[in-house]
Amino acid sequence: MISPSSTVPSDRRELKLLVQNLTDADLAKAAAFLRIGRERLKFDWKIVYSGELDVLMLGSDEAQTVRGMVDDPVATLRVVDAHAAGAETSSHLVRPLEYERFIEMLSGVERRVAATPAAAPAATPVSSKPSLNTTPPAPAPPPAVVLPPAARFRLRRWPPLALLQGYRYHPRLASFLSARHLDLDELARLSNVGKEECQEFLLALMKGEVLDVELAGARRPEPPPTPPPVSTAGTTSPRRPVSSSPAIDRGLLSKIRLSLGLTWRR
Amino acid sequence: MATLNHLKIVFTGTPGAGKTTAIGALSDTPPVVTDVRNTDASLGKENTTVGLDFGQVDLGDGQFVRLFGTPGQLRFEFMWQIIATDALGLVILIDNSRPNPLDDLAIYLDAYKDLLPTMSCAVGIGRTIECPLPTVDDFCDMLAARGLLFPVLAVDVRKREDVLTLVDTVLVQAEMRL
Repeated sequence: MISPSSTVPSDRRELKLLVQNLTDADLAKAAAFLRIGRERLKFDWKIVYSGELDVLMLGSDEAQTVRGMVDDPVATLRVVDAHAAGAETSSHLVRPLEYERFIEMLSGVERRVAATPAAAPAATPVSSKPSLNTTPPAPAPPPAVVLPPAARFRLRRWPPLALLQGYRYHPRLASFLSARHLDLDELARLSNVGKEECQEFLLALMKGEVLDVELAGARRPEPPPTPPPVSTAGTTSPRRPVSSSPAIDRGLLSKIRLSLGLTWRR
Repeated sequence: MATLNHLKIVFTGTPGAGKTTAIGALSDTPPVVTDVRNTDASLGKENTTVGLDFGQVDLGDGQFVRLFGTPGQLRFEFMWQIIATDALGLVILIDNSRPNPLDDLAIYLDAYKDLLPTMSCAVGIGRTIECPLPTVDDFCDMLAARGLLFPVLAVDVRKREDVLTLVDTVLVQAEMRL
């Protein structure tokens, strides 16, 4: 058994990955992935076997009682064989464990944790004596970023790499947002990516200040496709934009995707 | 005008960036290549493309998406825009191990400047692991400074999935322009 991870002290917040019923190979891989992926992860991850946890990683169908566990985990990851039922679901890691998928899932947890306001410290007992502490109160934490209701979003610029690395579909979502304003429902429907993931991504983009947010009631009509400027090359004549071609429609684009093996699922 | 029977996606970019490889990764048929033995020592590769690379993806019912690769060297610039006109999308591939990758991108942005405002386009940066600078974000900054907003992704064109991701971002833009 691998001993709980020893971590170099750092300023980064620590998250705990509680492992249960993993094979030695799975556990060794998980530990190695955490070491290798440290640069890509925003938190320090520590493998633990009991006590408090943030993520539960299971090598079996059912979780056993976890000694010392108080709160439910942020996420539960199940490690399953490739042919197992449900191997394709978003909370499953398929054997043999793959680095990208493992890091993607932990990055997703990190984003959820980061988007959740930090737990309030335990209430301090009320004292009848006046406090002698002259330290000014700590500034209030910044308010959590939330999506304005019914707002529509569009990228101002292509997001920094750090915002795209979490999931393989982030570049796809960003592409949708690069073209015009979309609300959350539209983004989820057009991209075929789950609404929760879309919301997380939008929040991350908002925090990264690369998103133009159009609030409900302040909507401007989307400009029509820009007509192409007259070519100055002399070898080409003015053209209509590709989008204006009646021959290209969503069905055809779907056909191209299908032929290329570009399929997306929620 | 791009019509049903003449859909094309064009791969352009610097010599050695992997245009031929990217087309080979997607094409249903072995790509037609026009590589010859390279005599330009500065390119640092054995062969280089002097005409068009060509591949295709069969959509059935007699429809195809044609994949064109432009010759990368600057002396073929006159062909670049001709090939890309009316394309469904344009993929610009940049080799980050070259001396001035940002300047390289600027050359292609200039060459296609008439088409880019209405074209679905993505930029793939190769060899970012061996040569991490300039960063992908530096390329994004450059596009933003020109008022352009295209996907910019680090890619390894030997991986079909990377090439597919680039093409998918192009298709998404085309879809959103409908």
